[in-house]
Amino acid sequence: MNHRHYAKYAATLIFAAILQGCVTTYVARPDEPMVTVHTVGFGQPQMCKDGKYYWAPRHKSVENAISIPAGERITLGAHLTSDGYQIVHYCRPFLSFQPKVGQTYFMNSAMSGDGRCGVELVREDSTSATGLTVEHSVAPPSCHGPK
Amino acid sequence: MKLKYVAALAACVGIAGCATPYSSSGLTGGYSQQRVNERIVKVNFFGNGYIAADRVQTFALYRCAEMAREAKKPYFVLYDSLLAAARDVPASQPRVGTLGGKPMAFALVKLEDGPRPGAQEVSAVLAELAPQVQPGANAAGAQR
Repeated sequence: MNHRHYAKYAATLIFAAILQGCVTTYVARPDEPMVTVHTVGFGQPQMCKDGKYYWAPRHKSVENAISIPAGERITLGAHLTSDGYQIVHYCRPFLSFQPKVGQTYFMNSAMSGDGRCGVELVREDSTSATGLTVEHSVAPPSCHGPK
Repeated sequence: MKLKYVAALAACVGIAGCATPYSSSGLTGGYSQQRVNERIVKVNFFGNGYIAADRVQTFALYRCAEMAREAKKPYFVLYDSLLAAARDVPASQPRVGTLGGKPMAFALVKLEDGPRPGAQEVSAVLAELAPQVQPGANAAGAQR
């Protein structure tokens, strides 16, 4: 292997490292109010705050749940991938909503047609027949930073 | 040594050439469940690149009915989204989609003790779908 080959490999590795490093897991301030979002869909949950995308931090004690900051509009979604036959297919649906302290939410991300995907979010409501109710603050994503 | 390679190759071809069977989640896909809350369970069925989307949808619906039978409930209500569940608007089929040629279906299921609008009868669903899901199984077996 000559120097040119080494340079190519190094460039590839650096590029991969940069891509990996683009998104980090969100770290909440010690006093930051957080809410629980149960994740029942496919893919890895991502959130966006202050124009920056993060992996949503896993809830410390609840399985299949994430903790996200409360009190301001948050963009939330998932990174869905399907690999095989040497190709990785992906889909990243997002929405935004205003999480309120004391509320619990449920997010579902799924494929909804050929290559199309979607994300939805509802709120816990023990008085309804299904224990779920519509979350009226849901809107299109409000964050437009690089994913 | 050569024999090992041939065996490994044959195994790979065997796995890759098989459409997802009706079974719990494994190497080629299958069903899985996740509890959403005290009232709702989500049923998923993942297929590989060798199974049609409508078949994955049928498998997911069958699993919903099978799960209700296991819980000794005669009826179930199916929702094809969280929003539909929040609005209590039942669906007749699980939602299906594909990513990279691999179909996946899911449904949110609420088990019921009696009939209600939109509810499906467990024994009827199992009897209707058993021949498609488990060829060789008869309707009586499906109604156990």
